[in-house]
Amino acid sequence: MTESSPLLEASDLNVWFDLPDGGELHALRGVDLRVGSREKLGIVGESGCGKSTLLMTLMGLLPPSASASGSIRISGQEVLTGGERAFRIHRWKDIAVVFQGAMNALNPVMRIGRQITEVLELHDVATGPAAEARARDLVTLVGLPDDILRRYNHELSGGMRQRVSLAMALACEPQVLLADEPTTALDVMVAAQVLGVIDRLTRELDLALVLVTHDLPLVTRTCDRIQVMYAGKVVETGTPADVYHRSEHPYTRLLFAATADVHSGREELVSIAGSPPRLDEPVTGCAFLPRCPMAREECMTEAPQLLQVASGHAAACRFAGQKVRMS
Amino acid sequence: MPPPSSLNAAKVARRWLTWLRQNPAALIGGALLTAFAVLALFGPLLTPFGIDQRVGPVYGAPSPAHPLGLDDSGVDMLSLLIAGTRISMLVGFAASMVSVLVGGFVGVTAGYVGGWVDTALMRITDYFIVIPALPLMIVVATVWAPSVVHMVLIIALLLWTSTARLIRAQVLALKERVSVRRARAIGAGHARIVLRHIVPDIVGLLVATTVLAVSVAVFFEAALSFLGLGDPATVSWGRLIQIAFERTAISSGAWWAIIPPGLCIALVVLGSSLLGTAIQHAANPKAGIAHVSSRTFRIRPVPEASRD
Amino acid sequence: MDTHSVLELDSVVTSYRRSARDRNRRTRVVDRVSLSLRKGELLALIGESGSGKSTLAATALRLVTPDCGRVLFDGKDITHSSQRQLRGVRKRMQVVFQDPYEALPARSRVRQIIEEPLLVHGIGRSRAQRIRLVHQALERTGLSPAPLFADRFPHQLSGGQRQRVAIATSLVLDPEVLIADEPVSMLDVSARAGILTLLDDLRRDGNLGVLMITHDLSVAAHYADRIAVMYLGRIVEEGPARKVVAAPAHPYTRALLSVVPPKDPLIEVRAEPLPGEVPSFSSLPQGCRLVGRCPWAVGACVDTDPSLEPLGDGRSVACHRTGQLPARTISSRRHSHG
Repeated sequence: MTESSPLLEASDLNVWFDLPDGGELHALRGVDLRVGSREKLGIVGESGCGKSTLLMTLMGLLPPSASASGSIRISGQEVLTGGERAFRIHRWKDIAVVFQGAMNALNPVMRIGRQITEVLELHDVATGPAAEARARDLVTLVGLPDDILRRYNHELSGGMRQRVSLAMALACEPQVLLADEPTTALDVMVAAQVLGVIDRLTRELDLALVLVTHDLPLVTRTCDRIQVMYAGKVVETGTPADVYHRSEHPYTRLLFAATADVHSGREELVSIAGSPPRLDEPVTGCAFLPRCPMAREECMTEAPQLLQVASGHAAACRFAGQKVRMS
Repeated sequence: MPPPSSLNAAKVARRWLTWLRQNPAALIGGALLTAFAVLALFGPLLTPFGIDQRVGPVYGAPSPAHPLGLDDSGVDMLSLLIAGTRISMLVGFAASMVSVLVGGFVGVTAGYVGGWVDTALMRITDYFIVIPALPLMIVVATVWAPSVVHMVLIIALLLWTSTARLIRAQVLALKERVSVRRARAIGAGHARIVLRHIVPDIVGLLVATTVLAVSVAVFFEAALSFLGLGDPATVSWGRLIQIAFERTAISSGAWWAIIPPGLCIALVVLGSSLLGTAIQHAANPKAGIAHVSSRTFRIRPVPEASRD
Repeated sequence: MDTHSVLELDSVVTSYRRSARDRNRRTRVVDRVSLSLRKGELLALIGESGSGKSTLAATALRLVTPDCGRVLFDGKDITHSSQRQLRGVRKRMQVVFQDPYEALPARSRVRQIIEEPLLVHGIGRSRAQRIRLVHQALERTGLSPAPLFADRFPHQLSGGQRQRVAIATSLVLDPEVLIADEPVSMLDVSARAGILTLLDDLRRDGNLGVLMITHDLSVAAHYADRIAVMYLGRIVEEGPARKVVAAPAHPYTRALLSVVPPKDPLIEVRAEPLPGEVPSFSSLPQGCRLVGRCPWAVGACVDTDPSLEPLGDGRSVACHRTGQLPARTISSRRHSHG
């Protein structure tokens, strides 16, 4: 795993959405990210934390009601400040995405083969017989038989469709692959198969993988590094072992404690009372404060920055690294 | 439209006004319809002259006293027009309401009960759809003695079919909703499920369809009157156009005898189409978020304040 | 017949006609399933999509009529009862659905939503009395203060709170059986434990039998007394939750367990999913339904469909090769302080 130069790097990403009655939703509040070749980064969080918005921002797929600031560099080239024009140069050829409902987004009246060759033609990768040959290679790459090319969407199962989405994402040989809940809508066994394919491809194609999900055990098993998000910010980042065994953020600890685990016996599961803060109002102090068992007065005034706890491990809590009792 | 968080009348009114403000089409349509409705309601009080009152020569030209000129009997056109509004609007609204009531009932029954009832009702609906509307109306109007009530019924006779289909489709979808399944699981009877769980969700569609049907109904009323099948004792826009045609208004160059009523019909049709379509969109939950747009997201400079 | 059970399914078969034309070809979505649920027990029914678990729930609730077999509620055979006869049963057997966002009518206040079952069954002699029952149900599900929540509309509540309202709606009739169909799968992780603990407490205090349908083996492992695993319309393994999870006997259960990752990254459980996907009901093999995917299938498996046989320790398995499967590579704990 090389740490030399990241294939995808984002700094201080902020995204706002215009609201119909005039206000703004501050969905991403200063997010950093870095992924290198053959590296699997897992972004994990609950609904509303901004993880999907983060992926959309990395692809430049924000709606017109959004505004963004910060920096996104793909293989060293800045894309965010260039806007849609800059993104279009890189989109799909350097960075591609597989969505959660991707399998439902396939064209129902076009054969699979045609849909893949269409992607290739649109991006000037190949045309005609060369495109067809490449399409055949792509479906083989994701572990599907050749005859899938002649089929239609409705003849395929969920797992097969998701693999087709994967094949289409890899059509232009991107270096960065983003995946937004790629297996959430699949049965657990099929999900395991698809994740196996993604894992294998990350190694075979030297991809940088960013995997967004709400499923904690999935990222601890699959990813090399994890970033936990809450209310639009990254609250902890580190290796799975760091984040599970040595977590320095109360939210991460509670989230793990709330997650069911078939292998760990019948321990009491915890639930976190309350809800995340509304992001259409400014947040003063720590966003997790109302739900935090370690809350102190100091947490109300200043929003905590990501504090380095150990090499590669940081947490956005003012008590990170200290021994503080959870009340 | 979002469900209410409180039933405060002022709040509800404010929400509607905001919606109107954001939907200029609805505003224009609503204004047009309201204007004509007011004219229809207060017609007799607003006519400057009587509709039987001869005030000048045959096809007198427009003048300051008579802005729309005079008709073939020397009667003030403006007064005739206002008087005609009443019948045209009455027939339009009444016919559309009857058609939506009938169509809604058929649609709910077919959609909810299903089975052979559904098949039978839909077959009947299909027969009515297949028959060309105007010829059928002409036949029925010829057989029946002309009167306003008959007009309403005749027009409603053929308008109910599209409503029936629309409502049936909506009911079929609603039947599968979790909240309906839940109601069944609780043990609620059919009447309760229909009245409390299904009808409230199709009211929006019913209102939209009613408004849209007004345009069709007014147009058909004009057509029937124009063909001489309307009530000869009443004045309506269609009748005005018919009289103008019969009494050689065109060759006399009396455009004021034909164009104003035609314009009124067009405006009502426009108004109800605009408003009806707007209500239809509002009644459609989650009508799709369009991401395909020529506009893109915006870039902001890095915030000056310290990183939050 | 289990005399202690409050809900029992005996060799139930439920099928759907495949197409309007094909009147003779029926797909047995539930194929000879027997289950029994006792009061105070939480039984988890595990199955992936296409396993027939939702149809099984619908059959138990008699929203669907089975082709064969019996559905018994508190000892009474309700298999062929008419919908009118079932009204009394409907009071005592309730259901909570998966989607808390769609299950509650958006235009009604919480009070009206919870009051509806009372009105349907004519419970409560006055409005004041009904409101009291509504408030009691709200308090029982942890939505306190009750009058405050009773006044709200569903869209003002979080997902977890909405699910509590759905549970309160079921509780207000004081049922004896609660069927929960994926009660937490649409909720955030932080809200799940709250709902599951609630269900757990309810079945203990309220002498309620809970049948929880889920695809999530982890959730079942934490809360269920017994687990039944369903595959293509059959129960393939059943038994006390602890035992089924610790030592799964059926190849499908084993595969399911291996595929669920542990929270702890230092525990290694190799994912061993079965190859291929769940076949459709229309192409069922003659013998065991797992043939084609099972790594240990032999001749006997292809010929005959194994039936659910008790293993003697409270578990039952439907497999020809019980006891002959190689030991699992159980998680190896690697301690690391690095």
